[in-house]
Amino acid sequence: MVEPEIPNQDTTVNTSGRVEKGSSLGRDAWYRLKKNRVAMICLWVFVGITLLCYLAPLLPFIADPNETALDNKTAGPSLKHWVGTDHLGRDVFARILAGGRISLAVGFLATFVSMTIGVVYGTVAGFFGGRLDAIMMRIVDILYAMPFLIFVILLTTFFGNKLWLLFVAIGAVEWLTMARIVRGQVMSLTKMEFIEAARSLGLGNARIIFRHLIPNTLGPVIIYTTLTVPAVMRLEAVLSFLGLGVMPPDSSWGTLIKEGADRIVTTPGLLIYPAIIFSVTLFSLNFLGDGLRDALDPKTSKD
Amino acid sequence: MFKIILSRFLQGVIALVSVLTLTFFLCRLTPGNPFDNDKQIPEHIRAKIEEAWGLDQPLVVQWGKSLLNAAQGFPQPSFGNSGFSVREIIAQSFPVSFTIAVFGMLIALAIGVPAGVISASRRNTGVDYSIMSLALFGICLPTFVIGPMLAIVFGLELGWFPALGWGEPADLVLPCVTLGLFYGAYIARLSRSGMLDTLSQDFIRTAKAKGLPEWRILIIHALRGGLIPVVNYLGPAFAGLISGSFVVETIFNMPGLGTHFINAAGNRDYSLIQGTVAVLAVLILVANFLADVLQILLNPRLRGGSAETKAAS
Amino acid sequence: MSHLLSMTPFIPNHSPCQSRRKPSSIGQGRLFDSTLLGFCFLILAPLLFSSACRRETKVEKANREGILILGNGAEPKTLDPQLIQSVGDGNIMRAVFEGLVTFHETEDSVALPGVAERWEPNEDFSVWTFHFRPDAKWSNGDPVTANDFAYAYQRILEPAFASPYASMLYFLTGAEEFNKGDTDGFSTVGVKVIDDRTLELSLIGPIDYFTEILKHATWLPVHQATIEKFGDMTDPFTDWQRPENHVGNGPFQIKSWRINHSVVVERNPHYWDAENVKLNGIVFRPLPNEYTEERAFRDGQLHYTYVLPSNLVEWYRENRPEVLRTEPYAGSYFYRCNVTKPPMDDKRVRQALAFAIDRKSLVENVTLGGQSPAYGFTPPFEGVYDPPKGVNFDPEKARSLLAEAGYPDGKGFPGFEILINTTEAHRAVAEAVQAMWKEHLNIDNVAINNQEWKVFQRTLHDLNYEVARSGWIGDYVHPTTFLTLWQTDDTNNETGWSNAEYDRLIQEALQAADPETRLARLMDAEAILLEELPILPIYWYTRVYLLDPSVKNWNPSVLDHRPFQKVDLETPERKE
Repeated sequence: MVEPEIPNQDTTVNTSGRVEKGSSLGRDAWYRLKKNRVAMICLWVFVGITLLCYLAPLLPFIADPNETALDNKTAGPSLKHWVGTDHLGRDVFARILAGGRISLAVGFLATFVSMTIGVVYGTVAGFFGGRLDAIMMRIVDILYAMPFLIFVILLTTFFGNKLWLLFVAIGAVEWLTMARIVRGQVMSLTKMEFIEAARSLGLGNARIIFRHLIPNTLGPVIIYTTLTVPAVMRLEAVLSFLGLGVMPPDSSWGTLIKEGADRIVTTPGLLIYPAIIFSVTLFSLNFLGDGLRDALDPKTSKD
Repeated sequence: MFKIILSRFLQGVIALVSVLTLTFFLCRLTPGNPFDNDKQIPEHIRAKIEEAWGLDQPLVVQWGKSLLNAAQGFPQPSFGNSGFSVREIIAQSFPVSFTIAVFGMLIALAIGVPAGVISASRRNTGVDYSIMSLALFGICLPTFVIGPMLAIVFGLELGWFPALGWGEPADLVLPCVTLGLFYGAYIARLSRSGMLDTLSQDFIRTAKAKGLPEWRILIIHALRGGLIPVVNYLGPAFAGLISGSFVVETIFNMPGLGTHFINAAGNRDYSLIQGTVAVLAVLILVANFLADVLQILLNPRLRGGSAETKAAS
Repeated sequence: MSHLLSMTPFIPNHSPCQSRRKPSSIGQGRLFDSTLLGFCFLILAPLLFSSACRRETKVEKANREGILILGNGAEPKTLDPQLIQSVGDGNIMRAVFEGLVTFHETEDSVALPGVAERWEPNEDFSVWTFHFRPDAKWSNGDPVTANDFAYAYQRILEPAFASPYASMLYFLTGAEEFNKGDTDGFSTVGVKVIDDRTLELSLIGPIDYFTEILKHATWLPVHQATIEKFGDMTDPFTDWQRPENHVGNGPFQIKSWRINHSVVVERNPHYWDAENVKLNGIVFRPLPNEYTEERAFRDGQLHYTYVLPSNLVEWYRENRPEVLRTEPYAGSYFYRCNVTKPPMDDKRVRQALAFAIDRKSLVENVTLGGQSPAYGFTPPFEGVYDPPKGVNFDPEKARSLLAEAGYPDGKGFPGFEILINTTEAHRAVAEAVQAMWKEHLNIDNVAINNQEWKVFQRTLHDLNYEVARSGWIGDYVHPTTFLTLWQTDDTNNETGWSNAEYDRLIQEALQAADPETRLARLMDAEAILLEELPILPIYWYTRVYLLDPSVKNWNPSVLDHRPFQKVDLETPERKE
C-alpha cells in the first residue's frame, strides 16, 4: 500500500516554489511531521496494520479466511481462533485481515481518485469564476442529484464486476463535495493580497493555481480526505450488496461491520473486532492527517 | 440582487431538465423493469401491462411525457406503489424527512461547531485529542451501527424513548440523535480545520496582539472564516440528509423520502425515480445557492468581488 | 477584481482594545461549560418528560382497544384484490374481503362456507355450483350477489386490465383463451350466474381440490358500482382503492392507508357474521427490515412479526420460548440449474452437486429456523402428498457421479457461479454450499455472484446463469401448484429444462378423474424431476416468527392464511 502522505506530496511537489521560501515545502513538512509525536505514532500504527493485512497470506499462523467449519460456528476466542469464529465457523481474525486488503486498497485508491478530481475541478471553478464557475458548479449539482443506485447497477451490467469499476463508481460521487469545499476555499483565497501580488507579477494562471492556490487549500483538503476514507470504505460495503466489489465468501471491513451490526445482540464479537481495527486505522489516519495538515500549512512556513 | 437570483433560477431550471433527462435514459438502460418479479408474469399479460403504462411507446415520446409529467408536478401514479401518485408519495414523505433532517442538522451543529472551535483553540492538547477522538468514533461507527445501538440501549433496555416508529414527538429523538452524532462528527473535524486556517491569519494575530479576549477572537473574528468549509459541506449534507437517510429511516421505521429514493431504484419505479430525483435536485440547487450566499456573508471580502463573480457564484 | 483592494480588508480589526488576558481565561472556560451544559440539557430534557413513568406499550394499549398489530413484510402495492401479487398484500385482502369459501382455523385443507353457504360439484368435479347466503353484505350495506363474483372474474381476466396474477383463474373453461385475447366476450368463460344467489363455475377438468384454489386472493369479489364510480372496469389503480372509497365484504373494512407506515382496518358492521368477529381492528405495519421488526416487537409495538432473523432464533428459543413460533410453510428453497449451459447440461454433474449438499447440517447450522432438509421439490402436504425420496446427502455417490461425468476427484472441473440476490440469508447458504462442494467434491472453482433483485430476475429469465438460488411458495394446498412449474412452456420454468414425459404426466394428472390417479401421476412426474434434477432441492420452508402471548386462536397454517375474524386478544394479568 502507498503510504498516506504520498497523495498529499503529489500536490506539494509542485510547490517547491522559490516564491516564498527557498527550501522545499515537502522536505520542511516531513521535518515538522517528525517532530509531532502523536502523528508519528499514528503513522507507525497505520503502517503496521497495512503490513499485517497484506502479509497475512504469507503468515502460517493465520487461518484461511474462507474455510468454514459448521460444527464450530460463533465460537469465542481461543488459541486457534484468536477472536473467535463467525456464523459459518470461519476465523474472524483472518477475515478481518483479508477484509483489510480490500478496504485499504479501495479506501486509498478511490479516495485518491476523488481527491484529485475534486481539487483540480474545485480550484479551476473557484479561480476563474464567472460563467465557467456557474457551468461547472451546476454540473456538480446535476451529478449530486443523479440516482446513484441506478448508475451503479448500470455500470455492473455493462462491465461486470471489475475492481476498477469500484473506483470509478466511488470516485464519481465522492469528489463532488471535495470540489465544492475547494472551490469555496479558492474563492476566498483569490481575493487575498498574495494572489493579487502574484497576478501583478504576471505569473500564469497554471502557476498561480498549482503553486499558490492549491497549497493554501491543503488544510481542508487533507481533513476532508481523511473523512472521505471511511465514507469510501462504507460505500464499498453498500456496493458489494449491489453486486459490485467483493463477492462472498470474501470480506471487506465494510461488509464485516455490516454483517456484525445485525448480530450485535447474539454475537457482538462479529461487530466489535472488525470495528476496533477499522477504528484504530481511521484514528491513526486522522491524527496523521492533522499532523500533516499542520506540517504542510504554508502559513506556518512563514514563521 | 434580483438579477442574480433570476440568473441562478434559470441555471437551476436547465440543471433540473438535464437531471431528469439523464435519469430517464439511465433508468431505461438499466436491466429489469417494474414488472419483473420472482413469480414471472406470462408474456401476453406483461405486454398488456406495459401497454397500459405506456412503456410500449417510442422512447422519445416516453421521455417527453416524463418531462411533461414533471412539469405538472408528478400526477402520474407510482409503478411500485400504484395506489398513490408520485406527488402524493412525496407530499407524504417529505415532511418526515425534512423534520428529521432539520433536527438532526441542529444537533450536529450544536455538537460539531463548539467541539471544533474548542479543539482548534486548544490545538494538540489533551482537550483537542479527546474531542477529536470522540468525533472520530462518530465517524467510524456508521449510522447502521449507531442507530441499532441507540435503539437497543435507550429504546429497549432503558425504555426512555420509542425504539422506532413515527407518530409522536418522542419518536424523533433517537433518529435525530443518530444523524446528529454522525454529521456532528464531520462538522467537528471540518470546523476545527477551518478554525486553524483562520487562526493563523494575520488579522487574528493583530487581534491577539491587541489583547482581545480569546473567546472574542474565536467567536467574533475567527468563526466566520473558520466555518467556510463547514458551510460548503452543509449544503450537500442537508440535501443528503433529506434524501439519503434511508438507513436511519429503515432502522427507525419512518415513512420518509430516503426509503422511496432507494426503493424506487430497486423497483425500477420509473415515475417515482423521476419524482425523487427532481426533489433531490431542487434541494441541492437551493442548498448550494444558500451555501454560496452564506459563504459571501461569512467572508466579507467576497462581497467586494466584481459583479460577474457574484452573479456566477 | 479591481475593487478588491479598495475594500476594507479586515473587518474584525475595529474592535476596541481590551486588557490582556491569559489564553485560558474565563471566556474559554465559560464557552466550554455552556457547551457542556447545553449538551446535557439536549440529552436530559426529553428524559424528564418521558421517563417519569413506564410507558404503556402500544401492544398493551391495543389489547385494551381490541386492535391487533401485525408486521406485514413489505409495503402493500395495492388494495385491489385483482391486482395483488405478494403474500403480504393477500393478508390484507383476506381481512377486508371474503370469497366463496373461507379458511378453517386449524385445518389447512378444509374449506368453510364464506359468501357461499353451501356448494356442490358435479360427479367428476368439473362443474361447481355455489349457493350464496342471504345475509352476505358489502361494507356499504349492499347485498353480495353472484354477479359481483362474475364481475370480479371478468375484470381479472379482461386482457386490457392486465392483471399479473390472472393465470390463477385459468382453471375456468375458456379463461386462458379470453385472457390472451383469442376469444371475444366473457360469455365464453365458464362462469354462469344462475340467479342472484347461485353461481356456477365450469372448470377445464376434474378438480377435486377446487375449494383450495378458491381460497386464493385472486378469487375475491369486488363491488361493481364502486369500481365503476371511479373508472371503467378495465382501469387499473383508480381511486376506488382509497380508504375513503374502498368497499369490501370481509369482516373488516379499510380505515386508513399511509405509505410505508400502516394500513388500518376496522370492524365491518355489515359483515354477515359481525357479531362473532372478536377484534375491533387490525393494523398492518410494513417492516421490510427483519431486525427493525424484531426491535419493534421487543419494544411492545407489535403482536406479531412477519419473520425473525435466523441468528436470533436460538436466542429466543433459550430466553423467550413463549413468543417464538415455528411452523411448516408450503415453500421450497432450491437452486435452479441452467441445463442449456455446460457444465450444468450434464445430468451427472447436477446429480453429483445435489448429493454433495449436506442439507441436515445446513438447516441445523445455517438457516436455523427448524426448516426440513428437502428430499424432493414439493413440500409434503400432510395427508395429501409426500414427494418421492429423490435426493439425500451421499458424498460417496456424489464423487462417483462426478467421476462418471469425467471429473474424477474434481479434476478438470470447469467451475461455475452460484448466482444469488443480495440478502444475508441467501449469502450464508451459498457460502455453506460452496464450502460443501469444495469439501466433498474437491471443486474449488465455484464462485458466488450476487446481483441486485431486478437484475437477478432478468439474468434468470434470460438463462444467463449457471446455478441460481430460488424459492417457490405454493398458491394453494396441492402439489400441482409446485409441479406445473417445470412444464416446458411455463413462464417460471427458467431452467431451460424440458421433458416430454414429465409434461405428459402433469397433463394427465390435471385431467385425471379421481384423486388417487392424479396424485400417482404427480408422484411419477416428480420422480422424473428428481432424477433429472434441473433443480437442486435444499430445504422446505418454515415460518419462524414472534407472537405476543395475548393473541389467541392464532394457529399454524402452511400457507400463512389466518382467518382474522376468529383471532382474539386476551390481556393477561400484569403485575405492577
